[in-house]
Amino acid sequence: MSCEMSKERLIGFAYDDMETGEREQIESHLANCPACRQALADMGQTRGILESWPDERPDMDLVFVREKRSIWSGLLPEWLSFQGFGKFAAGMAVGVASVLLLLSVLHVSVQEGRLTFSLEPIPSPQQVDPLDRPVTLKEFASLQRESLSLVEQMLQDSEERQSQSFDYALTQFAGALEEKRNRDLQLVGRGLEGVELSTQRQLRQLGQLITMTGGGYQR
Amino acid sequence: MTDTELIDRFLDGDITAFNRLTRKWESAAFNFILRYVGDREEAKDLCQKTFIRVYKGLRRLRERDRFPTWFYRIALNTCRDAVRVRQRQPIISMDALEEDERDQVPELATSRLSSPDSFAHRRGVRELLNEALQSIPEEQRVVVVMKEYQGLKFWEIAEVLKIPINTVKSRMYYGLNALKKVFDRWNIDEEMVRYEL
Repeated sequence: MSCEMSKERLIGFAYDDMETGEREQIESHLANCPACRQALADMGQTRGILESWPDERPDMDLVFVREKRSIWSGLLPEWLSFQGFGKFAAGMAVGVASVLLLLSVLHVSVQEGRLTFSLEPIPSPQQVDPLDRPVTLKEFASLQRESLSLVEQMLQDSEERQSQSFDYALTQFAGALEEKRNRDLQLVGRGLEGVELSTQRQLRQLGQLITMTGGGYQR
Repeated sequence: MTDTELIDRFLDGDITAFNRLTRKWESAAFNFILRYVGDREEAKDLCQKTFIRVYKGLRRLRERDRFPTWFYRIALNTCRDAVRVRQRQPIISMDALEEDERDQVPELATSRLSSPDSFAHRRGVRELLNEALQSIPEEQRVVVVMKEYQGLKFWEIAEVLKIPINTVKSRMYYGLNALKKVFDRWNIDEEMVRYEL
């Protein structure tokens, strides 16, 4: 620059990053110095171009320490997600389980407004042998209906099986019959061919014999 | 939760606090590195390396309220190490910048401008700006990215780079000038950029 204004002061003014009291001095200088005004304008334009490159997203996932997150962290509010809540919840669960176990062993009974505890085993429900109980007519009829239905079902199944078995046997028999018929036809065919060959052979021999006989007679 | 609180919790044994710190700084780190190296995949890789270095070094951080400065320094060093390894572009000494290269016009940019209009329209704005940033000297690019895109104060950049604040401002000034020359040669202005967007 051709004036006495230092570039350091001008750049500080451009970025509004200067010492206190400097601004007024620089502003008064700029009012009378076209070169500094031009330099400032140039800087502003360059900065304007630079600003057109915005920050970019890194698209990285830098994690140095893998955080141990409990399954509750996503469900519970932030104020409950403090460290150690898992231990607290586990302790509570163990306590509740212990109480429930104790209650299942203790026999709790209330008598006339008084709550009493005792360490008696919980009485099991009375077992009744079903064979000792008389059967009602309705139950009997129902059982008969069920039996009848089962018998009918069995008969139906048996019929179906017999029908399938008969169909299968019939198919087998038809196949065997067809095969035997084919075999017989082949045998008959071969027999006829033999007869034909034999007849031809006899005819040839007969022809030769006639030729020989006819020749002798002529001589 | 502030950075300091997250760091305290992490150092007190709450290992998941580091995940939250990572999520908080992931975007800033990635975008800083992306504009520094100019390659998205490499930026991802360097971003991971940066956080690994932060993870390893967090216990040695004494002034926890200065975490951002410390963090950017690690990110920058990670980038510089990578650039040194791949040797794709020359590393310019921090001390060599001051006077000699102030008016240097990026050769990379000028050499590719046989047809500025077609070049500008053939490529997206993001690629153009990336190309322009990669074309200016590294010291200037660091300052421009930190100030323009990361929004750091000049004194914060000076802390990260461990240089005087006036040097930071000077590099910023020359960096913007260099970019302006690149944009002028490519016929890129605000209007065209907004149209492309």
